Amino acid sequence: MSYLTKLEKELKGLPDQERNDILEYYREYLEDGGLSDQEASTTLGTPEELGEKVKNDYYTENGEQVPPYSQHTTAFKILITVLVVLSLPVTLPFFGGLFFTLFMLLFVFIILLLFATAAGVAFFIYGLFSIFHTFWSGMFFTGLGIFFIGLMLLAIPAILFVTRKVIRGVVELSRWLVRQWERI
Amino acid sequence: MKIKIPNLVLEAVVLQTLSKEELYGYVITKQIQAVIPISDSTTYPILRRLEQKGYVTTRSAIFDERTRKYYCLTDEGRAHLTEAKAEWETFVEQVNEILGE
Repeated sequence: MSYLTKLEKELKGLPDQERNDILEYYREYLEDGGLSDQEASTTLGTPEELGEKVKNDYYTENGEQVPPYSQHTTAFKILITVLVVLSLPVTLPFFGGLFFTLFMLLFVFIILLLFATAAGVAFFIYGLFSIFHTFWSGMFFTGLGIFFIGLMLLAIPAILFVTRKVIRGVVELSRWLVRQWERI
Repeated sequence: MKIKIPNLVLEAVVLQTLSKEELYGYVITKQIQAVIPISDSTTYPILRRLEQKGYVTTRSAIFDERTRKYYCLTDEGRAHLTEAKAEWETFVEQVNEILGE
């Protein structure tokens, strides 16, 4: 893989426009300097190092970085700490309850779907067997079985999607809480 | 060099290289590196900032069957450069008054 392709990979997450500008700049830079991929790594740093630096520059400039040091006094920090500890009896059950409810909902949903699948398979098999003596009810149950199985197949991507969202949501929220904490 | 060059100074240095003629990224970097040891990845964010502030404009030109982006000093850029030079001189004088001799 070429130096620029690797750099492009490193720059994922930046806005498209910005990424293109940077790649174009360094593409010209390598050409103007007549630098091989090997030489590029020694002058500009490895694609990973350069990507890291470029992203750092971008985020610092756009004020998206957490301030490196705090402006608050020690007394203020102690006050906040005390307040956080005192509010734990309220906040802990709240967030705990929130997470618990989310996971339970997901859990119930999955169980329901498992049941639907089991029912689908059961109907299907029952239908197939009874098709020989009572044709129409056999057809009905086979169809019902296929319907449930189809429903489940449709629901699998939805479940995966929701699960991912829930997990990401929890991670984001935790990160946000940690960031708020580091800021004081 | 242990001293971290302030952005204001780096910006002024880049603007100065463009004061006589328009140049492209590689040459700007090499001209500065001939005097001040900066890393090759220093120039891009500075040029970007200068463009955002309206101190330089860019122009793409075809060279050797490929494009090359030239940076050109604007009037505001020139005015800013004069200002930055004055500020830098004052600063150097102040530091020298304490450190000198």
